[in-house]
Amino acid sequence: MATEHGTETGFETEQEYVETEDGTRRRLAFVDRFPEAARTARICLWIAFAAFGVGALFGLIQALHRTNTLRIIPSSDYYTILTGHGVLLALVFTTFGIAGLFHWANTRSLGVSPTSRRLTQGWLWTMSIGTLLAAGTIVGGLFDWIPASADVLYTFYAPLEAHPLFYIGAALLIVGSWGAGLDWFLQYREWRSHNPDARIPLQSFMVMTTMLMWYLSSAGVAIEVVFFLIPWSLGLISQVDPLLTRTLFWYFGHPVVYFWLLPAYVVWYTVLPKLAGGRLFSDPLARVTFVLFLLLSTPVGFHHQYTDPGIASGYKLVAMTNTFFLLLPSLLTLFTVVASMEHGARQQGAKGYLAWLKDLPWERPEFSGVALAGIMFAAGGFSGMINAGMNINYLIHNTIWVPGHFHLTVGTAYALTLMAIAYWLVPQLTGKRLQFRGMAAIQPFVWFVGMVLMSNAMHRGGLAGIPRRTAEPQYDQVTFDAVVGTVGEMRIQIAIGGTLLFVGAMMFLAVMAGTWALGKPNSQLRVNGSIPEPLSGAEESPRVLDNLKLWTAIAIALVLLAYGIPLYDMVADGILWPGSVPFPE
Amino acid sequence: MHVHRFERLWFGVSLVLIVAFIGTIIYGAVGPGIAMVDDSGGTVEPSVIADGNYEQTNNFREPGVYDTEDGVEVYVIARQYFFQPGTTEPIRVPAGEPISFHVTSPDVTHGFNLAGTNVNTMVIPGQVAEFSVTFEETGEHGIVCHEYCGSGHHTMEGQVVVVEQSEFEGGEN
Amino acid sequence: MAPNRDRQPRPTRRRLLAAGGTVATGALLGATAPAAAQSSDFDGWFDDVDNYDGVVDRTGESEVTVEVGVDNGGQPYGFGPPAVRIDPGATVVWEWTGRGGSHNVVAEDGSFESELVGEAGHTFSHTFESEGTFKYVCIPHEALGMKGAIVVGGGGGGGVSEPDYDGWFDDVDNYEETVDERGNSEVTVEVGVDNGGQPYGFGPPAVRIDPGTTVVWEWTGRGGSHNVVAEDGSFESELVGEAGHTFSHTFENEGTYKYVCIPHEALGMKGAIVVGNISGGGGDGGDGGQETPAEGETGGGSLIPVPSDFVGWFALVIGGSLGVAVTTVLGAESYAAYRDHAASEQAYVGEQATEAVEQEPVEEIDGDYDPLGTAALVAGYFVLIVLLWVFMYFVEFIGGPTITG
Repeated sequence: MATEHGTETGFETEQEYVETEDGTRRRLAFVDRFPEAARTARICLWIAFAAFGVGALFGLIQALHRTNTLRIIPSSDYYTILTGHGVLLALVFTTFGIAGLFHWANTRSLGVSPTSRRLTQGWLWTMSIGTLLAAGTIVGGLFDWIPASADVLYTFYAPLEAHPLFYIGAALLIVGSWGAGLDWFLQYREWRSHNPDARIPLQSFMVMTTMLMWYLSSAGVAIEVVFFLIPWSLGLISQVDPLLTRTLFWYFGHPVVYFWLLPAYVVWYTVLPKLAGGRLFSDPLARVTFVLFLLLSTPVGFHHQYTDPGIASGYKLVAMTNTFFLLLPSLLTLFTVVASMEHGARQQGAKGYLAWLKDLPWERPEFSGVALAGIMFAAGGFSGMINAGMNINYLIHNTIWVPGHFHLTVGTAYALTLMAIAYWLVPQLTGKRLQFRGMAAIQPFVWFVGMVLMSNAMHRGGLAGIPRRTAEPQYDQVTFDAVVGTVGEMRIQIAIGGTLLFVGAMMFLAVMAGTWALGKPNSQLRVNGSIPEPLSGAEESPRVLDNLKLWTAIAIALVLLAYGIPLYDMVADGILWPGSVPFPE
Repeated sequence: MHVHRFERLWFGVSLVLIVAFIGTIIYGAVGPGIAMVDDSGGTVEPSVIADGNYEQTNNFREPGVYDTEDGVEVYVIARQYFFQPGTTEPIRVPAGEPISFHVTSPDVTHGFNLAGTNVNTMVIPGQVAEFSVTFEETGEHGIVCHEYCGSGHHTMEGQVVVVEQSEFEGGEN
Repeated sequence: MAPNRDRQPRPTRRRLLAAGGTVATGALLGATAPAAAQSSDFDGWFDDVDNYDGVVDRTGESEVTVEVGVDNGGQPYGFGPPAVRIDPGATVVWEWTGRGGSHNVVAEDGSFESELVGEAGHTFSHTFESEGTFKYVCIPHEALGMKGAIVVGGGGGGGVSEPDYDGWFDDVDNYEETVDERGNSEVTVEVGVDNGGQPYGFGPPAVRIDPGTTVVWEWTGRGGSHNVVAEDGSFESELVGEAGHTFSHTFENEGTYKYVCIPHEALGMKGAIVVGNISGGGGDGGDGGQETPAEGETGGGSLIPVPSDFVGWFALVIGGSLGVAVTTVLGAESYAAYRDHAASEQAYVGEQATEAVEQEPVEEIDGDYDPLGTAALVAGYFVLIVLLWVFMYFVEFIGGPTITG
């Protein structure tokens, strides 16, 4: 108990410790220090995992269908399955997983319980009802007797039209997440009233910068859905401008990927060093990184629209430049996080120039999963640079390269990090010891191998021009020439990789279900939840970094610079013109 | 603010890398002239295209290949689930000269990609995607619709056939 | 619907379609088609056409309208109705609904071909002079099952007109006309299909069959319990709601047989079977039909396969016993393992959940340490991405056509 952290947790006291029967002094687990917050975080995680299970099954169906390995659904239903996969994993699994993780992180680092039970219940219900509506309308596409469908994929580009309840559900999910953010800011205000001069604890700082970015960016999709798509799908307005609505979507569509990733960054910065046996290398750089994400995540959305007509090249160029500067925080993270792991290995006695790598605790899934996720993210970072590369992007835009890329980022950096950290966090949130630990220990490696197979083949397939988002990438008039490898070999790798990923997902869910069903409450856990002080602590970082109002103001200014004129151009000729009537599918 | 010297160094190297990336991209646009689709194609009312009233627009013509004084112009409509021309009849263009494509959609969002090349654009209702391509060699290129456009999306494909100048017969201008 | 890539070689005829789709408007070419067509199965032509429901008899009319772009398995890619029987000399007018984008009407044998348009209200017509079966498609949506056929002449006893049902179908929304199923020995009618927005209809409500034909009613499982009861009492099914349940009746005598679902009669759940070539005036139901209630066997309502011979039973018994044995052993083992496990977990249960004691570092390393290994790894990553960037740059810009301004 050498490093207890005065600044890190606000209210840590002796009452948090108990003497156990074997005579050791142990800290109470999170579930007994903050029962209410633990319950909220648990609910969020269970919903996230349920969505993950269904989404993973849909993913398996797609991998086998696309590769023509096994086609159990008609190809016209493929798009319903694809919509479900995207919405359940990229919107529901992420948003609920993030809510659970942030609820824990903010409460833990501030040491303050959430202030309003009514608010907490409000956002939980809002998000849950939104999820049910969106998922219900999507599944309706598979059954004739459900009079609703939403085969519009998770980007829901107008003029393809979904049932109004789909849009309403999506809006509720986002509004609910705003409520969650409010919950965390109120916690911070409560903490601040007792700690007028203290630095913001690191995890809480990260939670708040992420949520500020989220407020700023999700406003775009909220406007798209509430002011355009809902009235349009209800028939209140006859047409919408497809370019304007997709621009609003992508205004939100790039920051949302950072909304998925930043929770992984929170884990990499604050928990991974501890799991490796060490301490975070640098608190100041961690804060700088999150501030850069708040500033630069939003004014880059046009890099998803490099191939869109109707947008001048200059705006695309600005977005490209911003995007490349967004590399900076990720490259800084790479160094800080790897250095923290090296510090951990060396504190545990590892020697050698690179030999310390093998002395890291690879046998523990909470470490191995998070570390493997980080490695995959380094690879995904490269393909992201190509995506961002403006005219280089033209070769691979909307090819299967793109899902190859984001299965490394949201599909591994976020998903595997969340799974791995669940092995460490769920015991603390439930007071139950993790079950099926053997299965848990190999699960991250199964996921890793599956993703290596699937993703490398998808990237190479993209170079050959094979499109994404299609049930049958086999054509009569089109042949694909592989730059590296062969198309047939890629197909096999995608099918095997997708199957392994499904197996990995089921192993994870079995561990979670086993822990939930077989674990005993009030147990003596195998994990320790304290987080040591960074080597270079908060006192080293300039106070201005904690000035969230300043950074928010600059972020808004950058958004106005990047989006003001292009949006004005689009609405100047009529906000609904040139317009399209709905095309229900 | 205390930052380890290795981190300062990495910070500098990262910035150099970022600037170098931006530099090579801009060189690609200026040197080899890899340009982007932009707003030069103008806008059209999707219903005008759907009804075939091309004479009401000043930036779109009846779909087809035209040999004009300004070079070869190709007007393509991407619609559920075919390219017109392109699907039932290939787009025939001559090799060795810039071909100007104009692509739009009367219904939903589509894509237009010559598989394996960087000839790639979104086709958005209301917008005309305009871009030039020079085919140096004769041969065939498959056209793929790469944006989900409805339950028959996977059947949407077409072909560009590049022929010798002497074999090329464009529609009258 | 399942457009399962019915990839026949594309006829060269399609290459003739001009880019703009402006071809031979209404060129009423004489139908030089295969004469003597008397087909009711069309050689699998309608296998992937969801909205095909038999040939609609329009003989006796000089002009017949077919809609282009009607619902076909949930998508607007169908002809309505897909198959029509007409008299020689009659004109078929195709009328575009405006749904599903652009369509055309192209005969398989090239005898007629419309322009490719999407505008609602557009029409194309063709007069069929000679007898035969004329198959046609909408070329862009052929793979999605947008196919049709015109049967000229022939057809059982030749021209029959719509029988006079005496107002029977006045309150039946899903009744359009009598579907001609003559020539088939078994005809299926669905029980519980959409009827004016509610699942209280027979699909199709009116069917014309040959004497001796068996009609199989198949329950869709929608709309609760239904039955099939003849107005004249000549047949009556059980009242059930289970999907896949079937009831069949063979009609020996000519006549018009009206029937209802008794619980939903007031909601317009009514149907009729026309036996033979009856035109106008509803005949009274004849008797002599055989009632053959059949469950499971014809319908496929049962999920459990029932063996049909000795080998089947033998395999079922042996396999079943093995399955039970394995399940019992595994179940017992898992239960034992679970009990042991629960007991061992119990040893860790205290009054409150507590964390593990934090691991102390072997040697404490403070701020002034140089992460040399990290520096090496990061430098390696730097070199790797630069090389990959160069690779991509060349893949992008070397060879092949390139997009320029």
